[in-house]
Amino acid sequence: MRCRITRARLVAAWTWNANDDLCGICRLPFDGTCNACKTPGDDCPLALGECRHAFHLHCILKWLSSETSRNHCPLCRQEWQFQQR
Amino acid sequence: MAGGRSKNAGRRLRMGIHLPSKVVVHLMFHGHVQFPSVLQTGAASRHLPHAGKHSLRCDAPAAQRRRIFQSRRDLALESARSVRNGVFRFGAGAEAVVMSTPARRRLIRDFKKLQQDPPAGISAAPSEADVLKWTGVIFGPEDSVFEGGVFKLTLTFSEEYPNKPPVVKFITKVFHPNFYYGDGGVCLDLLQNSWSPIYDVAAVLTSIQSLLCDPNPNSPANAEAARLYLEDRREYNKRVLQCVEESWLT
Repeated sequence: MRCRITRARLVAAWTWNANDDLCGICRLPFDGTCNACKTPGDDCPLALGECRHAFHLHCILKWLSSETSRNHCPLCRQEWQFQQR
Repeated sequence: MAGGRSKNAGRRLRMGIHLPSKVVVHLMFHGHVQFPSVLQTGAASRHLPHAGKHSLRCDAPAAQRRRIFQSRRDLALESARSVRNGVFRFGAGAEAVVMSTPARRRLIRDFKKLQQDPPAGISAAPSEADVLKWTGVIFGPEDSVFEGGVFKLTLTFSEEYPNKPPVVKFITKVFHPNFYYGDGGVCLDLLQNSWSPIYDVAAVLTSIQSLLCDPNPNSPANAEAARLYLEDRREYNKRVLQCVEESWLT
């Protein structure tokens, strides 16, 4: 039997490739937004450090701008460097 | 003078025999209930005719003390029940004040997590009027000098939470090298320089609980406690036991 596909509708799903489900700072899922945003996806991206720890970009920026942080990663306390890809 | 003292001693002994507090407190708290913030507010003194300065006096007649204990226990159980049933509402007229900000949203998540998997020996809940103001309870860890103690504290968060640590103060007087005896402040590096936004209410309270039986006498907030801890452990234990007993009354 032969069949010819005349039309197909493809659906793809994507998720952030972090080592964790939740952002350690706001405790919300990476696939959702940080707790200051409304639209998930490119508007509220994920940030990876050289230490391979991931946070919402907005969350880590807010932490790094507070003087308590002294530019440390919240999880391992190493100096935070954004991972260059 | 001597007569007065022996009269007093008789009273104290009688209270020791009744000692309703010890039994009641144990039954009441060991199920990790959410401690009601209502005990802190004006509502408490309205409900309890004897609450306030008067209730803390150890020389009050035993019958009166028993009455206070019973009404406190009833109030606490009632509030605990409503918290357990998920009744978590803001105070009347609070809508104008309570805006949903990142800090408040995070605190409500912390509270849900605390309810879903409560860590052993601690308990905390935000006040009804303001999510930034919490009341917590730490139970003295078993097999330590602090065993049996019920230590209440307040946690005050700012809008910068979790990027800034909360201000933690004990309401109950605790004799400990790292707690200020006067205002109940806590000297813990985690709440100052080594704060990290990954900590939550449960983490803060568990670290304070582990500080209870593992003090750091090298950076003392209470010099006397630190000295006794290092030089005269028996006297230190005695003073701790005293504050554990007093913690049942406050």
